[in-house]
Amino acid sequence: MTGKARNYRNELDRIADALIEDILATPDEEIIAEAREDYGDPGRVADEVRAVYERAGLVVGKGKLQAAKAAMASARASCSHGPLGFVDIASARHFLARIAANDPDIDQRITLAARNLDDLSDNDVIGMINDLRELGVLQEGDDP
Amino acid sequence: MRVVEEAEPQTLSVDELRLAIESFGEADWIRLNKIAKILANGRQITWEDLLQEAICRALSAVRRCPRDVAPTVFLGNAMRSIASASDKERPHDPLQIAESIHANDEGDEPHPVMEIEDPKGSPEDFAIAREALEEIDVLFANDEAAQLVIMGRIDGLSPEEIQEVAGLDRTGYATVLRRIRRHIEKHESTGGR
Repeated sequence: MTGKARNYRNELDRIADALIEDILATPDEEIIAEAREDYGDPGRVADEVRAVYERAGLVVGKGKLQAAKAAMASARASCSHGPLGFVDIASARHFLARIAANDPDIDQRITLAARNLDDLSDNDVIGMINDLRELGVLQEGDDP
Repeated sequence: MRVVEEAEPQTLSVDELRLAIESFGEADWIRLNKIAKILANGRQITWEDLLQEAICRALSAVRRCPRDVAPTVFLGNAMRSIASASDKERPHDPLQIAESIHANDEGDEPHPVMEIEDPKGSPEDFAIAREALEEIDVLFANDEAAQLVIMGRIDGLSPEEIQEVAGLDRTGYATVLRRIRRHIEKHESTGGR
């Protein structure tokens, strides 16, 4: 003998499927007449649903705004310490010149290059600043 | 010269969908209301929340509307899947299942073998769904044709199979189904009790 636990949720879903098929098959004028019969004013029912749609639009809009803000914050964070970050080139050249003149311990390649700062492109200067960051020569607050 | 035509995407863009929804007539908005209410029936979710979530997913392109599907049908399907997923989020309670088996046991003999389906949802979900079904049973206690159609759909029969079993033609089946829906909707619109 076999017994079977009823799955009430599944049963309700199957009934719902049948009712939804009927809703979709019912002509517009009948659907409107039904709303009039049940609620008096079909326009009010439509307005309630439209309000839900508008609320959903606001929720999505807010979500996009927050995502954009987070993306900008993340971009700023990666730019301040990442490769080719926001660097004032004039300050960077000055900074490298000071390092080359005063710090005998830093990487010799950088020292040599920094002695000919005028020959370096902006990208080379930024690259060297980033190298110094990676070497730990530049700490938070030291950045040009 | 060979002209390569770009294939049209198979789904609507968010802007296209937004435009389609904003062009809805009164009947389409009412249809969404009816579908949301049917799916929220017997669940711990309001029709507004269900519909709002479906629209949010559509407008943020989490779900995309196929070009060959009407937006009302698409949103209905989205609500159906959100409702179903919300059931799965809540674990079921074995004690509740045991109670259900007991409630359905017409004889005094214990069942030596039980085939236990895995109902979704929490004990509260389970109780609410059962109550909603019991209300439907009461509503159609004196309508044999409606009972046959409901039982047939619950058992997974196709409309054609139900028509054969119930001795209905297509029109007769559609009439009974409409009667069932309207009876349930009127019941719900007056507070459901």
